[in-house]
Amino acid sequence: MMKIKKAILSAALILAAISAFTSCIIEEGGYRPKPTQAGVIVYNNTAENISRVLEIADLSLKLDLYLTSPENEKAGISAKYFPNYGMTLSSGQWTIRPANNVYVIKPDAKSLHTVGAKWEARAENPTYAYDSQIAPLFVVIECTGDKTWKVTVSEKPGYNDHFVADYTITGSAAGTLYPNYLYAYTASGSGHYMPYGVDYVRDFFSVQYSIKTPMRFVPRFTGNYSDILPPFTAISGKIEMFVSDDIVSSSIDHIVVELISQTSYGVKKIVTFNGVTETWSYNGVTTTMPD
Amino acid sequence: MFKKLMVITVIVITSMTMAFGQHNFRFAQKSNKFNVEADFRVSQGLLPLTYDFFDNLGHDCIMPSLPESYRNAQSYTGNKYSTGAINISQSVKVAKWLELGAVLTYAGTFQNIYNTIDNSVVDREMANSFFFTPTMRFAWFNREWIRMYSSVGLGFGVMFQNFAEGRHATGANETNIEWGPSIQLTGFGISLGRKFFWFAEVQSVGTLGLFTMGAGYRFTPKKDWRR
Repeated sequence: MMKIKKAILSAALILAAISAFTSCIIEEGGYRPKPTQAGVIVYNNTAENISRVLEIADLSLKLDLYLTSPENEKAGISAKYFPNYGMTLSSGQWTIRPANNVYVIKPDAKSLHTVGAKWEARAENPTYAYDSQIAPLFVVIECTGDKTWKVTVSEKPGYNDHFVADYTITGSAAGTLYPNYLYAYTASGSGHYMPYGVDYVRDFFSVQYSIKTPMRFVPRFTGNYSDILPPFTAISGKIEMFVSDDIVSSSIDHIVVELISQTSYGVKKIVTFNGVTETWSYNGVTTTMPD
Repeated sequence: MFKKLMVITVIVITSMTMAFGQHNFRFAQKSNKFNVEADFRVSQGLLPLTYDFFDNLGHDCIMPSLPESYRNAQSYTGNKYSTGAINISQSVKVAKWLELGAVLTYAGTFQNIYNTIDNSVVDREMANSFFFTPTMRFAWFNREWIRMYSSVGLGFGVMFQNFAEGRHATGANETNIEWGPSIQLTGFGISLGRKFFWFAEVQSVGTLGLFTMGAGYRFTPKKDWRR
């Protein structure tokens, strides 16, 4: 009996020694993200949301130009701004179908370039959306001045997505680099969204944002229109975001992104995430700001 | 689960049939006398087939949602360590070519989750598995100092898994408990030594590990214990 006890004790000791000294790595550790990377992720999504709204406003303004132009110019405008889009008019509503989405625009009696005009527009789920379950976007565009519009994004009951925003946008010449664009835009205002996905409860994650310095959005690419990404990208301005993520903590994360300059690689920006500041020269490469 | 058990049962039966095929009845009738002995073994196996083994292979191809990307950017995983399969077993010789026994196994994996900003440990993911595997060992080469054998085992096990929820220190970690079969198929095993012996098992698949090595002690059980 003593022998067995001794054997069991010895075995336990041997096991402990084996366990302590022979553990091996079966999977290398993961990549360490930059301290402000979470801020960049939310910024990119927020800028994409604003770009989606600008896209539908831009399409409405192009439609306005088409509708108000003389008959002999319509074909040229259509070829320039709506190439192979497939435009149909039904019950006072225009349906425009570029490759990536379906837009429904309801003009009122006035031109959208006339103060007081108020058009309604809707975008279906875009194929480039970051979150594939983005619901339709409901937008009201109201002309408030010379090339200035108030754009309101509202939530409709019955949809699982939450996105409300109020912007003031002004249009300026897009420039010769962007021949197929009517305007580049400067946007100010604020918004709030809760992305919806299949794997989380929507109320757990929300982003409140406010544009602190008007943001200038220009066409994303020179040359031809791309059907893959939202057509506008921000190149200057400053935006503040507050992220509430109940899964992680009850505290609210604070993000500030200031866009400094556009380079051939992307937009250089200063990103502050919960007090940590880094300069992002272009996507993926960062330089930490000196204290 | 039922399908898994069925597949394992078929594999075990097939293996046992093949192993029994090695039994020479004519030889056994001539000399069915053997020295009753038991052995006690301690070993470690590499790459045990725990219930999360297949979960660890490959990565998600699904594009993460915004909240997932956001959370993942605030933490990162450290190296994942495994203890391997640590086994204790005892067996008794019931025929010259056959030993019956059982193996108790522990296998653990550990992985820290670090905060992206200050590198502090915010959580730890771990899996602790325990297996009880009755085994049959078929010795097909028996000498005083060297023995070669194959073995097959079937039992059950339990795994306790701690996930770091959202890979953050939320204090809401859940322990997932999973029960299942324990299976071990050893194609080739060799032991060297008499009373104290070293042994290694290769070409084995199962909860004891892909490659197992350890030491053991052979002894003659008391007469009453034998009964």
